[in-house]
Amino acid sequence: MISPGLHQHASADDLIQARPAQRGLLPPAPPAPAPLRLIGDAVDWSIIGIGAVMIVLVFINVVMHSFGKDMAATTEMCELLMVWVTFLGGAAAARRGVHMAITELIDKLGTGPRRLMDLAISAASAAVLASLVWYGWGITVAGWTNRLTVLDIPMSLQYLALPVASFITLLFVLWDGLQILRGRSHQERFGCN
Amino acid sequence: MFALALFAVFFAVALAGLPLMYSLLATTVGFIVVGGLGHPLTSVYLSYIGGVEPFILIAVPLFIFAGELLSEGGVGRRIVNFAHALLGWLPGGLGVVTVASCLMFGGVSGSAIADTAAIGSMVIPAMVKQGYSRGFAAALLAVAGTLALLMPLSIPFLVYAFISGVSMRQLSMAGIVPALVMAVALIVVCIWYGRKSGCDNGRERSTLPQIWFATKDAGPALLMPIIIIGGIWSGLFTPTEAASIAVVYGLCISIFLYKDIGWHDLPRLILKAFSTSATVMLVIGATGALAWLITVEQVAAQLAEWVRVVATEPWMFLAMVNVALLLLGIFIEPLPAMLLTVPLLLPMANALNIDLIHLGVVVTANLALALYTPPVGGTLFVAAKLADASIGEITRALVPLFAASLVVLGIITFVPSMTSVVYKLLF
Repeated sequence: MISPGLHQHASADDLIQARPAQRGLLPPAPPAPAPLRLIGDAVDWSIIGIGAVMIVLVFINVVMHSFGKDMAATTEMCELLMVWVTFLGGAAAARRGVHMAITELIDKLGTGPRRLMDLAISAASAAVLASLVWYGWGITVAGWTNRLTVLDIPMSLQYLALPVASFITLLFVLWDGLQILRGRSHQERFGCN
Repeated sequence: MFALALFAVFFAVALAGLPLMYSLLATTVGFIVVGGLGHPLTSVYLSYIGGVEPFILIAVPLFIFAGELLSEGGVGRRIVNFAHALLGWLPGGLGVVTVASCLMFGGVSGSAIADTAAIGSMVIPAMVKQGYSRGFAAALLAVAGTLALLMPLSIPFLVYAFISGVSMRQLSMAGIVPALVMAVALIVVCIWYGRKSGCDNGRERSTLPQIWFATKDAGPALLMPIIIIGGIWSGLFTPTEAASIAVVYGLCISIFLYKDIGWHDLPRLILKAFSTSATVMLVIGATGALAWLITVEQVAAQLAEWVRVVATEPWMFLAMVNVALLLLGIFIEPLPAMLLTVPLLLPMANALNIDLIHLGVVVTANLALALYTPPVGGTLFVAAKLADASIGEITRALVPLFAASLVVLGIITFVPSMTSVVYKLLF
């Protein structure tokens, strides 16, 4: 988006330009087998759906608030959805290789050592994710009898986000590990990310 | 000794490139298992989940979404036009317009990257055409974009308020004067550069109709920070509710009024905002897990005791904070750096009776510098890409701007009344 007219004697009218070009419904994702692509797209649309519901719920609460009323259920529901959208968002970020990481040092490595480091990072990530799936499932099972105060639904519906989203993330990480073993560089796997 | 080993292992793993949330979890679990500390791992993972669920944190994806809407919705362009009509006549006028635009857009987006990208894409080509060096144009955008971090909708402020437990209302107001002083310092550098280089002696003053047109066009966008700041200040709504209002207002002006984006853009923007937010939230959650271990092992108390010995006066502690954060900022982006350091700084600051709101502004101002300190930094990279300038060119042009920022940082750090003046007056 480059403004052509911000020169010395441009009028404010000159500075307004055409609107940006239309883009796709979803941002691009790296190539993957069909089942993994389907899972990835399902995750993306779940995030969009949950995010939209949260935006509406919080705004309804603001409106209710201005009339001196409050919906306690909204707060609890938003917290439940926040946990789901965050863990699923982590899966979407892993699919596109955009998790926060300090890569300045490994970026300076040559192709061979970089590939080894990428493999080690992928293996360590997979180990942490496997542990999250295992313990997350344990927490979910153990908490099934506890109920959320206002919504009166099992607290485990909130905890369930951890093993489910971690399992999906694990699939993306394992697929990425396979790509590394096939000799694909970070650039080839994730494009401009 | 335990604290030193914990942080050494974490930094080694993180610098090896493992994503931060995995580095934090692996370090926490590794110390418990290998060190035989005997803590149940279930507690670690419950802290991890608990770290991402608080209602106040829902404001993070909402603010990011509002920023995305405004960036793509044509708000930045109208703000630049408005600033140009008002300030373009000054020497170094385009630079001055850039700083003023970044300040105003920062007031509605709260994101330094969005600020740099939205304003930079419009003013950098014009600055280069005017005769500014590509290096200076990029350096100015990289620095001015970070003004967003000190404005009321700042996302780092929200994260700091959550970690420290201070009032977001007070913290929002505390950043306003430092942001204005920082903007004035940058404007002085722009005027100096415009005169010294002779590339920009200012254009003719805008006519009243031109000013009226620009004001009318930018009016709805300029009204947004007034509504948000006024609402938070008056206690009419909480930061989370303010974020929701920012989203709805942003949707209305971007889709219905300016029409620069349509409904078909929303899925992409929602996904981008919520997955970007997730990468931050998961690090917050993992920091919660590490913080749990730090608490049960009483590391915070040990650090506070160490500070009592090393830094006997608040100014010594704040000077140490500045040096440590500036060094850390060379390698790590602001939010992770904040998430990693603030839980450690809080007990130390409490031990020295330092105002935690003042500390929040000092930490944020420090970490803003991290965004453009070479060789790496978010706004630095965005500006370099927009200006097609090398990091070397930008680094040379950055010197006067960096010096001005350091002077203001020193004032923010050692003159606490600068941060407290507004919120103590208002609350």
